Amino acid sequence: MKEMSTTKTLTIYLLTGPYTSQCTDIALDIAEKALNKGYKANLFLYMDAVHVPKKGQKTLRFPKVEERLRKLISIGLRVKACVRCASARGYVEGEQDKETGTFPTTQYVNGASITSIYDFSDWIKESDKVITLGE
Amino acid sequence: MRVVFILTKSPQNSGNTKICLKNALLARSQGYDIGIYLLGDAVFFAKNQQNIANDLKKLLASGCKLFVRKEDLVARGLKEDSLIPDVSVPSDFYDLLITDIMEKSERVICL
Repeated sequence: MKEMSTTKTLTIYLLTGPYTSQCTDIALDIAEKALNKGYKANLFLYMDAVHVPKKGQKTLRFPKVEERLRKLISIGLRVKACVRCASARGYVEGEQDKETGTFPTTQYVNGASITSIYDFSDWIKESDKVITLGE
Repeated sequence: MRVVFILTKSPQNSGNTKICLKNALLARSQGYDIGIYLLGDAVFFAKNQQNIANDLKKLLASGCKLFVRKEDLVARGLKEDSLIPDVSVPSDFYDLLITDIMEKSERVICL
């Protein structure tokens, strides 16, 4: 059911990891513009996109995705990663928290969480538009 | 009804361009309002003198709007005069895109 709010919500479903294609940058560009225009924005990370919130990214020339993500989270971007994809890539470090529904990790930036894929379907229901980036 | 297509992949490496063209032409013939946004490698889609150019020109002639992100053109060494006529290269690409997605369109298709 759609939230009782006048603020519209955009959810971005990202499937590609950082530095392999431009999709992560495009996703963050779109999220940033949506937030700056006053919309709510969600980013759901699937498959290799679960690498996006990893702490400690060091790049020589590319802009650091981690830093951009931290900035966007600070202005309201909600970020969740699929638990199966995150577990397969070594990010899940324990059992699910029954209260929050999240899975523990020390490897993600603050504000990004690991959750069930069913959270994505909840976001779809809450959102006015959903876009998919990556393959 | 307005439908927005967002393309991010090169037409040379993806069948998505043809899917977009086919569906956009069909939708346009049925009276749908169409906007196409090209980002990343998809900016090559707007290049003139390639095998899809005639279909694209037909689509633009039918009233479809095609927007290309300038920074992605520049990053790939493409100049605006190498594009199909009537393609738009706005300075506020993301502003237009978000407004179109959130306020103007009923459907958004990402390819």
